[in-house]
Amino acid sequence: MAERRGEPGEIVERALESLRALPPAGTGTIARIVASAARVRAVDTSPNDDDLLPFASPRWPRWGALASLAAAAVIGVLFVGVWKSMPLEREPASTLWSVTLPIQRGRHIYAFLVDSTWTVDKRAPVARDPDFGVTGSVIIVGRP
Amino acid sequence: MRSSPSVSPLPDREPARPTVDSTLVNRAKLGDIQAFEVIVERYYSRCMRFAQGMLRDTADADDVVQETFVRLYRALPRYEERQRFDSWLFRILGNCCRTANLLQQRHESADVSDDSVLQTLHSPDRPDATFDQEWGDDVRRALAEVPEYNREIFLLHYVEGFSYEEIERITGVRQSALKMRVKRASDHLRARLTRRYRG
Repeated sequence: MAERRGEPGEIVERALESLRALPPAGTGTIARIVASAARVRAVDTSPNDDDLLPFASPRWPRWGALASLAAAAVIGVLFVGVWKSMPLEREPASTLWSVTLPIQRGRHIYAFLVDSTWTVDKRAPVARDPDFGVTGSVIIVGRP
Repeated sequence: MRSSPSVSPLPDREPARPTVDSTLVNRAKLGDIQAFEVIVERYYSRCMRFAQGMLRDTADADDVVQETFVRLYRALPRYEERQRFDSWLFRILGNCCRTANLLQQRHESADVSDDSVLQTLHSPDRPDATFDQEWGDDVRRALAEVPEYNREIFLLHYVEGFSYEEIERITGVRQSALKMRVKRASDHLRARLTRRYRG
């Protein structure tokens, strides 16, 4: 049977009708998922302080209008799979912006949010977050 | 020569795809668990449908969908509104499904053939008592034979209703390649089901 280009064809259309059926959520399924996410989030926000090391962010040079940066410059860091963000602070008598924060040992990905746009640190190795497709920068933290 | 499909990705009777407004997403980003629950309610069924089509073992679909929503919740602070929310969700879901298939493949013992895996496939639960169980099972077996990289695109386009432009953003694959993958998946299903039902 010849099918016109770009059309799935009659028998495939019938198959699609079957595949498009939406499965219902089982009893308690939504509640279970939400509870699981809440548990994970609670663990995420309670790091073990004994395992944290100080991490000084790369110093961020002034890009664009300073007034705009003051309101929008933020660093986002991927802590063991969880993104957290915190504001950068301008260093006194300088055009540099930085932040110091505790971080666990290991490999972490970070990026700067400047005027609502995620921007990489051009001096660091680049990584791609597999879920988001947004480029980030990599830092590896070990014992001093 | 016709170059564009005359068949829409979704039939007219298909309800509009659920959406979430930015207020709801922003509340969830700040940790509002009730806002997140609304998001799960709106997208759960679509995610389950996609996972059941993608996974080698459909019994894993429930776990994979749960893992997807947990990852979504953890990653929400990084969500940018310029992305379509469901595109972002299905990117995470696709990653989870591929990972699950990889693990399933590794854990299968050497004496389990693909045929036996295909035999375990079953249709999703349907409230419609007249549903043709045998047809549904044959469709799912035929779909399971389609290579994963073609199956994913086929499902995103024809079942989930994403345009090729949207799928390109989700997968990073160029539209010309996407159309070829959808065509190959359609060709396989057509050949398999035609052989089965038309002799």
